[in-house]
Amino acid sequence: MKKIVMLIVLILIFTVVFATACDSSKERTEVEFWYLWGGEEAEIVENLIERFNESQNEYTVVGSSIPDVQRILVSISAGDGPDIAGNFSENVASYSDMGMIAPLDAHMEKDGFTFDDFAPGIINAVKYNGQTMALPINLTTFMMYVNVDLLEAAGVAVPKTTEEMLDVAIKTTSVGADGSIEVLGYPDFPNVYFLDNMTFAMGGNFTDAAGNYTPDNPGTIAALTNFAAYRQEFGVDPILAFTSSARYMDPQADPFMTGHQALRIDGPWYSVALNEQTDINYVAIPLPYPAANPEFEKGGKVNSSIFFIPSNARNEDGAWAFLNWLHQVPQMVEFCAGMGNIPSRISAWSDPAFANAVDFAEYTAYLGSPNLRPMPVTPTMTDFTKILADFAEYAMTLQMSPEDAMKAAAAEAANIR
Amino acid sequence: MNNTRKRNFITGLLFAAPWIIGFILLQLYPMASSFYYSFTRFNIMQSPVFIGLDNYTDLLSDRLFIIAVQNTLYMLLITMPLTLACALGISLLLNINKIKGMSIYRTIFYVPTVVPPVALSVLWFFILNPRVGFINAILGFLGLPQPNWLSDPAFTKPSLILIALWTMGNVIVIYLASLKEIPSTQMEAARVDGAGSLAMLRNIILPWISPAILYTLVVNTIFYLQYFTQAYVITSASGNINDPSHFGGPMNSLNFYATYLYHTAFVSFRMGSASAMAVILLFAGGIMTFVLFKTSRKWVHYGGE
Repeated sequence: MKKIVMLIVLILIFTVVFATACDSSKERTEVEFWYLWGGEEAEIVENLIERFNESQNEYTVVGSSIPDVQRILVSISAGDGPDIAGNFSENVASYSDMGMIAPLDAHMEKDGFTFDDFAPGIINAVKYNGQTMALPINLTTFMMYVNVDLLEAAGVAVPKTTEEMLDVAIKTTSVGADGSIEVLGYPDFPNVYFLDNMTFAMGGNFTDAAGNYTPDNPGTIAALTNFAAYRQEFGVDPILAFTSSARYMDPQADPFMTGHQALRIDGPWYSVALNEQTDINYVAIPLPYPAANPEFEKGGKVNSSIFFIPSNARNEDGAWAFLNWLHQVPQMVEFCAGMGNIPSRISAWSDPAFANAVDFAEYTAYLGSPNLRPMPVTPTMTDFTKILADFAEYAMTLQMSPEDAMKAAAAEAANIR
Repeated sequence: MNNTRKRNFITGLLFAAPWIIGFILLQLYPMASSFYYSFTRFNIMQSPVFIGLDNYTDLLSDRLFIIAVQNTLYMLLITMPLTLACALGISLLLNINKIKGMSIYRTIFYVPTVVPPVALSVLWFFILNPRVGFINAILGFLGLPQPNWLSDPAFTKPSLILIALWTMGNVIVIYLASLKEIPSTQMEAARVDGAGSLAMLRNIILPWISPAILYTLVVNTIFYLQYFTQAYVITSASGNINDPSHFGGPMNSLNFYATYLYHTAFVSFRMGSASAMAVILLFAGGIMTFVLFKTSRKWVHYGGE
């Protein structure tokens, strides 16, 4: 009897030891996650990371706020990068072409992750050569912000077409006795948001069906012609003096925030800043379209903040586990509601968290438009956008006609390798 | 080699070993790698593909490369001589002992050089603001035209000249130290012999300080070949929004050799092309320095010889 008891005790001890050993073989592995946000926005990301880490026992995500895209890319290329990196949808093609990104299709298929619920406009922007290379967490599009008080003072209505936009801009512009601009009517600041958005709003695109760059498309030329018409009216130098004195999103020096700009092109984060930091009476409306082309109504650009897994990630499975979790509706809602973003999942738009979000209804109504497009998915987009910006500057400073400038851009873009 | 010399050689080598190892690992190896990559198509992530001289020949037809070379030459041929000449003029003035409070003036000229370049560039971004900046306020007070310093391509590089002039304190200190070396007896003898100020400058002062001039020429040539921080910070600040397509400033007037090299390497990830630019820069710097030293035999005088 004593031997049998001893035997049972030994079996129990062995079982406990074996079970413990098995358990310890399943230690949590680390997943490095480098994101671009800082400050309060980083806190939102860190809260989500903490929730993920508490939710399971396989992985520990370690987040780092690294707002320097170049640093992230160089670290990845040196083999010392993260398991998940943040970036923007415009760069997916070039990074994929460089072999920097691991495709996600196998993981998606294994876990039944689909894009069925995602806004259709953004899906192609995260694909390259038919493979899914990244997941879009939010949607970014640009609307026209209108200073209602300035328009009322000038006795003009909110513009719907590009012709009306130019007319409103001219009538709301105020010039001082010394010739300096006191109120800028046109969305000339920030200049960088104008051309991409207005090209799409005017029915243009930067590539043709064969994937060749087409900066000389009618939409871009029409957008530049409209832009140049305003500068011809008030002169390049006074406008440059005004815009180069402005500071983006600075409540003291951003002209729209100080009530010195009538029309403005900007993104959803600008609504949050306007409401938190100013009492400007404004409305956010879709970008204007050419009067002769009502079929272009509600056109514009759409892009996204994305997350990708580098091809040399050390913990690809852990990275996917976190990405999959983060892109489910509850987490996406928490992320986007905290950041003032629009979720990329359409079903998340009706979440109560967005009930009081500023201009959320306007943005989501706009995002349903089939005329919104992402930038073309090409690996040499960085080089192309530089050429486009350079030659557009000739047209914007009235040194070349929009047609000639974009023709020259097309000639140079044809040589991109 | 006898035993003692051999032992001394090995001991010397061991003492120098930290530097030799550091030089090989941190300088020679990266330089050799750059040289190799300059003959390849390479984006960091994928293996380099040998393409011969294509990177070099492509640069000859690269619009932005040609602009970068032109802008860099502007800094070398206009900004650098202007800065050195002004520094020399101010050094001569500061060397006059009869002026009261001279040490205060010297301090005033030197203080801007201790400001970090990034902070300095941001500061000048505000000083050059066309509507509320200090410079245009003065110009407006005097009834003079008030240019768009950082948005008009005609004024962007003159803006950098202003910044360079403001930070020439370190050159002034070098010239002042050299001016102090001139024996007062020579100056007095020249004065007794009836030499005017210009004759004394040409025949006594400039020959005496010529080694310092050579040193500042070499150092500043290398500095302007690698001119980066001020242009990069001012361009970023002017753009307001971090947009790589707007690097180079208005009409690419602030696109310098080093900024374009950075853009090519770390934004476009064309490492082969960037390496070719780095190799060209190395040779350009080497040739310019060689020419300066070669010609210095004719105009540099050591120890008052």
